[in-house]
Amino acid sequence: MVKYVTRRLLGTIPMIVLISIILFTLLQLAPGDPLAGKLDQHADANYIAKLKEDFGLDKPPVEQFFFWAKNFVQGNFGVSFDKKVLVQDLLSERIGKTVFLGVVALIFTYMIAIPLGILSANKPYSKLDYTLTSASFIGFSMPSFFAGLLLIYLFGFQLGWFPYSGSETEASGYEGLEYLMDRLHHVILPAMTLAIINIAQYNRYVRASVLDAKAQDYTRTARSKGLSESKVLRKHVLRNALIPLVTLFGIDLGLLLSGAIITETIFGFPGVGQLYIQSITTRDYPVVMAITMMTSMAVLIGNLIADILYAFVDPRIKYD
Amino acid sequence: MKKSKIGILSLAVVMGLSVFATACGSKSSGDGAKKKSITATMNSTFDGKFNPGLYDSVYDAYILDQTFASLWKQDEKLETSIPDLAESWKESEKKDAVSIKLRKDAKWSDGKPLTVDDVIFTWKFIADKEYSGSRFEYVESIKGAKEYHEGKAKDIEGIKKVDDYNLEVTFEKSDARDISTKVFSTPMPKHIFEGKPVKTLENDPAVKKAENIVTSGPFTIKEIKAGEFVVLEKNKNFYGAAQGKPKLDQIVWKVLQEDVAIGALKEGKVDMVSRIKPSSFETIKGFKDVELVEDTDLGYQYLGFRTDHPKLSDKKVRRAIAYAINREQMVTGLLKGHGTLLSTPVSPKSWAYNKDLDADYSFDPAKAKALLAEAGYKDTNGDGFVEDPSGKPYVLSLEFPKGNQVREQSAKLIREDIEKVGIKIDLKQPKDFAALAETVQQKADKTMEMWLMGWTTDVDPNPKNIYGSTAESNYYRWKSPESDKSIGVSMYDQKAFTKEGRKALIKDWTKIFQQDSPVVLLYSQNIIDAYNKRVTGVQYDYRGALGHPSFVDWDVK
Amino acid sequence: MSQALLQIENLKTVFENTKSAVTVVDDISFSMNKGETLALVGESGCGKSMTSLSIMGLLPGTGKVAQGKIMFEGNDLTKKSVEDISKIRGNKIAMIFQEPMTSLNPVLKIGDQMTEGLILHHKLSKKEAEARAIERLKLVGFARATDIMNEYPHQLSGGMRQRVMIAMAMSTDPQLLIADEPTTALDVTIQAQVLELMRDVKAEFETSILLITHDLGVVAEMADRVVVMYAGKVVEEASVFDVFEKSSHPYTEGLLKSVPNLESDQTRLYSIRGNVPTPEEFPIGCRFAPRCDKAMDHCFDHAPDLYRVGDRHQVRCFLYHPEKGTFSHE
Repeated sequence: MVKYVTRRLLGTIPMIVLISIILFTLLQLAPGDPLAGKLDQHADANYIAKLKEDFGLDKPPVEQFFFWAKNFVQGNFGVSFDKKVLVQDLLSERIGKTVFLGVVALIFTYMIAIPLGILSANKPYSKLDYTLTSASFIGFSMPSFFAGLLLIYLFGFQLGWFPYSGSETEASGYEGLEYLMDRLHHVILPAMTLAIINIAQYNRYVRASVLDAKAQDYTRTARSKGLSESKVLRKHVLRNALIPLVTLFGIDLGLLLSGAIITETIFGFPGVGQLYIQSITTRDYPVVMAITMMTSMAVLIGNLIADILYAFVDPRIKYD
Repeated sequence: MKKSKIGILSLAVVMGLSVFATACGSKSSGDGAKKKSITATMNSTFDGKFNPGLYDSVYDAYILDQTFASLWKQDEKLETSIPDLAESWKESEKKDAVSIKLRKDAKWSDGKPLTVDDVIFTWKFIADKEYSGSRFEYVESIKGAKEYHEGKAKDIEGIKKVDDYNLEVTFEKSDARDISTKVFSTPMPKHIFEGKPVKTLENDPAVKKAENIVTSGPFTIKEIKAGEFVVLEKNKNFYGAAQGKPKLDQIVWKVLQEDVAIGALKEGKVDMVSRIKPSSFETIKGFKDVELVEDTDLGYQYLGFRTDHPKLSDKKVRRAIAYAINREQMVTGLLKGHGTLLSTPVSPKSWAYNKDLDADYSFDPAKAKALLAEAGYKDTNGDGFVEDPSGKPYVLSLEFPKGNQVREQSAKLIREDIEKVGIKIDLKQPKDFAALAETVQQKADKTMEMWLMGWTTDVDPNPKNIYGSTAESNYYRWKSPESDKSIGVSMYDQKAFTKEGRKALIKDWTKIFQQDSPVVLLYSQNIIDAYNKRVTGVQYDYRGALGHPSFVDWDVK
Repeated sequence: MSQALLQIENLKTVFENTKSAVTVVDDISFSMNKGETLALVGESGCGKSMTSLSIMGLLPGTGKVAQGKIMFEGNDLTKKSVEDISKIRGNKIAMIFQEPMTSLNPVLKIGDQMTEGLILHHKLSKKEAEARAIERLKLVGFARATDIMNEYPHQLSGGMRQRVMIAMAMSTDPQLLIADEPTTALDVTIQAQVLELMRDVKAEFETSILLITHDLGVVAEMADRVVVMYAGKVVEEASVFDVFEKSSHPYTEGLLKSVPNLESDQTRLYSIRGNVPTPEEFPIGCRFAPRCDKAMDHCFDHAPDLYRVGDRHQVRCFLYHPEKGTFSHE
């Protein structure tokens, strides 16, 4: 197993190098000078030239890339063109919030989609199933910003159960558990918004997967032993039906980092997504590079984790 | 039956967690009841560089407006500077020197006195060779600042400390402009920043961390959450004698998407929403207990020409286009009346504004056609569009950036208007602002012909930075010796040393500008803020155009 | 006769949806005595598997028993509640399936799958259940039974898995073992082993076996009595001897003729022409008539009953009608 993981990790290195080269080239080709956005009647030519020099933008692209790559390997993500502060400082303020949002969204997804999918599969083509199916399609086709505004209106304004924006209460002075609960209270609506599309997808997936497992021979064998239907479901059907979800988990990890852009904007939830969209519009390449690289690595590592998990949940898979 | 239990159980856990969190959240929200606190919203996130010499973002300025005091501020008609940190100042006859006297009761929020040393430190910081910000221009006119900036001098020659509260400044030459544009007016605390590396000061905690930022204004910064909110609290060390101590204990500036902010305003969850889109005006007007305030912005939108492009080098063509565009329609239609027509680059809010020059640019398609014909542009092949004087097809391209909804919509109207007088327009797809700005700024670019963009301007009308022949921002490549001379006179001539004299000189220049039309001035979008009536003491005056009014007099019922 | 272990009376199994109902098992009756092996024979799609699943109460989808009785030890299973059926299923009646490769749960250890029936029905502790499971695994020929308990199905071959299935089915000492094509998916050599094993098990525990197969070789080797099914109906019921020696129904004859025979020198293997009709298109008269070489006009619009032709030997064919001479005139 250790050997396998090492091999896989080594295998991701060329991938990361390739991604970084492609990304860097794309950003070079994209129209728009990161400093041109600083249109200001007070910005004189010397100032712009000085900034270019400071950021190394006066050097040829290949040299710029190696400079960036060298720093990146050493954990130095450079200086934001737009804000002129260290990229790692910008990210460290935000990454925790995005991960927190993503993890809660994933928990919501699993906790809601899996039971609903099972309920659907238990009585396929029943009224309940049709209702859940329709709800899934609505959820799937609902744009995030609309879902977000709807939740804000309902639970933030009308019912007042949850805060309508932000990631924590301002000037609260909370500490310890109280602070954690405050964070949790704030993350619920955005996490729900983020989870809605996922829930719709997972619900369908689980339904199909459970239906499939229920029709398998081993399920019939289990029934022939006289096991109760719930025991058959829990012990025999679900174990098989939920294994493929592990694969999705790998993909989700990357999606959660990048998928929160709109949700974070609507909820004023200051995560990486909000920073990302801002950095793209201002052509703040060091930030764009850092976030995209992180997302790519999260996807690669997420897939690796999924593969490893697979070996634990499915005895048929072994890595030697 | 058992299977559905799994589902119910999970839902119960989710709901349970939520309710638990709700309970915890609501328990403590009563905490701040005694505090006088307001919540205001900004549409997009602040950078978090809370330092007067280093900030770039307009949202950072929202915070700085309330936390840093300046040597002087603008009077309510924007005509002249009035005392703030500077108790008084006296300019020399020839406007080439000024002596400034600071008030003695001003303190930093950490209790240290604010003195001349802080002012001088700030000017030297901005003039430093290593300084990474963009404000050198604000000290450039001080004698010896250039030499210091280039590293040729150890000190700035023109600055002389008399004592802790008095200093004298000598300028490079006589300069008729207002004092506020000649010297940088917001001091930074020397005792905090002295000895720190100038080049990387942006990363210093004293710029970014609430507990390390030392301020001089009515409020201090209590808490900063990147991308989310800034909490200001009453500055106990604020001098404030003249204006009275701030009445509010706390101001929360929250980053909130506009639709959500308007909803929250309606629900009474926020007290103020700043910079509202004109299209939201009517919606908010219907809200109970909400007051709207509106003011003309100092900035403006324009259609720019590359005047050195062969297709646009004839000023008759440029003027024809100016007459062809129905700007009234943009203000009434696109801005729903929440905007101002503009005919001169001097804002109607400025003391130097000349109303009688307005008539020059009224909508007049007939005149536009006549001018085109006069310049030799006629429709020779009967396709409804003019050909150039040599009979070749004549098409002008128009570019515009994404981001400003009204501007994007105006592009289509402008094309229709210009085509109605016979010039075929090739309207390009909108580009990202950074992408279009890059081309606009390129000195060697030959591809652009016309584009839409905007400027923000200063209170003191100074056309030099934008329209001077050698100005970095003269993207129009408008080279007019006549204009340069006129600008020079309005800045440095003896005649400009009185307000009236300077106003007349600026009028002379404006006429030259209008005759040559290097740009077509379109409109100035109004600034609209909305606040809950529970907030009292709100005063919006001309200064609203500069940013938010000081919250020092604001209170809550 | 009265002490039959299993007695099926007029069983009718249908698949229903909102628009129509399809009868897959149509009014069949037969009975089995204790210790007897009954072979249910027919081509695929004739309803023999559905008969066995009806007995187990494991009909898939919308299938259900529409009428008739399934008497097991004197109780009608069709009248029993789901809970009561569960107590019999996997306990007194066990079943092994055609596909050993897919009939075991791939993610559970053999031990786990072996013991769950014992723990449920015999109220054994986990330890006791494991001991019994190991004993049964040894019985079906696993020398290293303890290791097998800790292995997963994918680590075993097809033959081993079927042996596991048999050990599993036999673990609760069932009175009746239903074996649905237990050897069809196996290699010929393995087939022999498995059949051998079933015979041994039967001898040891006096279990009755309902053997469902299309393979007459297997029937000859295993069965005491034979029920031949065609298109949802029983067409012939006889002792194994009678079937092979004096088979009467043209369908049974056809089946016998299509078994390869070393002694005959025929070059082409006989096959019954046509295909088994689907339940939606069962003919009105004798269901075999369209494929029958001996069919008379009468056969096409009249359905024959079962006619007695000997001791416990019945045939559903007009050729054996007591007054068969009368039909040729029509």
